Amino acid sequence: MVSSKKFFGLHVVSYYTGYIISGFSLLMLLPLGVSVLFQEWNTVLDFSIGFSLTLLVGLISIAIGKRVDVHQSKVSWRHGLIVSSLSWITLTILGAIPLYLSGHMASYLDAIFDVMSGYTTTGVFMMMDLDHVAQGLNFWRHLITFVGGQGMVVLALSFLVKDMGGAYKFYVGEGKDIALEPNVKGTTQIIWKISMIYLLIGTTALWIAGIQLGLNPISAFFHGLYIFEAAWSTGGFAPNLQNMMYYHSFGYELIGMVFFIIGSFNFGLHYALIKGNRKEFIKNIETVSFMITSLLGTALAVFALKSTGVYTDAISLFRRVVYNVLSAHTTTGFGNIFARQFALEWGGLGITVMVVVMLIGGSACSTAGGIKGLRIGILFKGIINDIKRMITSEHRVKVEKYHHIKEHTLDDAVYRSSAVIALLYITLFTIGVILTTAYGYPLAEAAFEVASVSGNVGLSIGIISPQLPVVLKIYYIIAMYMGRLEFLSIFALLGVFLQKGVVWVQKLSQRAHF
Amino acid sequence: MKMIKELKGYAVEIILVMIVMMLYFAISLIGAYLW
Repeated sequence: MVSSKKFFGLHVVSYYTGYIISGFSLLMLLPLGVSVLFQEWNTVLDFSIGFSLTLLVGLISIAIGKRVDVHQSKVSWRHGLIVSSLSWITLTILGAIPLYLSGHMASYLDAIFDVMSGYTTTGVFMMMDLDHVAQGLNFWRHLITFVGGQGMVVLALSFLVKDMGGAYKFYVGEGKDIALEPNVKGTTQIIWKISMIYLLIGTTALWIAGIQLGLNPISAFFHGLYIFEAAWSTGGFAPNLQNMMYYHSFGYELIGMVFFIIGSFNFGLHYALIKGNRKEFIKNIETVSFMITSLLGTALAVFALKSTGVYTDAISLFRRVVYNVLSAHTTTGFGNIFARQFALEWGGLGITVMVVVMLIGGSACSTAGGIKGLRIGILFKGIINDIKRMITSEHRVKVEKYHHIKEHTLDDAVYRSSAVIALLYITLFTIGVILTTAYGYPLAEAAFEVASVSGNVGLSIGIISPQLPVVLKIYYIIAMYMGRLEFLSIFALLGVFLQKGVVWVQKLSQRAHF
Repeated sequence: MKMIKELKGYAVEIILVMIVMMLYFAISLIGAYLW
């Protein structure tokens, strides 16, 4: 008989998942502290319950794993992928506790939806009466977006686990595969250092801008912090129902725009620029790809919206059209128009541009979602190469290269893996559109909303609300999750369940024979 | 010295993005007055 422990190293998975959950529970102490500061005693109680339950689940999981010496067990690729995908699911369920207890959610599923939207840096929400949410709860929403953007599994492991031998496997499982330093711990520390320095710069800039707008200094600080966290993580959450419209400020929007564009860039690019390698900005395939697609996208959207006559002068075209297209392309999801304006004013071409740029998304190994500029660049170069092969004799075709931090050869394996991920995204999107239209929503609106959740964008055309059918809520949660973890680790987890299912069926059939 | 060099890197990235944003604004200008 095959034991379940032998089957996929239950102890190893349980041990590391437990560490991640326990480490994550400590994060809940931050919003708890903010609630104490603002004397929000109900929220203090909500976070105390959330913290206790999360820590308890984490400790039980470690205790199960500790029954064998996990350090003797080698962490395989499968373990890394399963721990990452399982941690995300568990942390979503546990992270939703304070949201649900706040009374601002219609159901626990809605709380899970909002937390998944936060972790995956999507930014759509089901929270009711957002304008009157406790400071502690808003702090939590934005904190999970910030942490989710940088990678929470690796954050927990790099702080809590001394032996990081198999860490690269967890790291890849979370959708990040760049090596800025020879070891994962060094790379993670650089990612966090860059993010924290930008947090300081961005929050200060937005804080000053907030005071200039007339907010009191404490309120301006928290608004600045929240908007920066959401911008840098390409998240899209805001502490107000009207999102960026609340501020009525071109300057505030511009500061946010600078940071969401930077946030959508690869951490390798940030590192190269900080090290003084400025040419990387022009040479990198991702920045080139982003420049081409974003300039084409904005030009097409400006053309479409100018034709409709809704926005006519340069400032409103920039503030309302370019801003939203870039917010969509970088998968941020900050909006400065009402959701229904997309449906009523943007027309067919405007919505098509938004759907396409949302699916393309930002850079690989950044906080952004979508297919990613790197893959779009590789696919484009690969197609050109294929055409060249067709029209010239094979021996005359040069080996194609692309520049991404360093020179890489565009071989078939790279081309294939980019095509597979792009195809999976399109499949995820197509199934979502079919499902949404099956519930009676118009095609253009369904395409907009599904592109927004599968690309982890966060802009809404008005479909997402607590009244959304349960099946769509569940599919959108899955789409956000799959889009963020880029399929690989989820397939590993599904594979284990399928394998376990097959063994279970075999055992049942054996029993039936006897 | 190393810290100043690094901070210069952050400033360079912000300036580069602001230059790119001016390109987008140019598109809005063209859209508003030429198309």
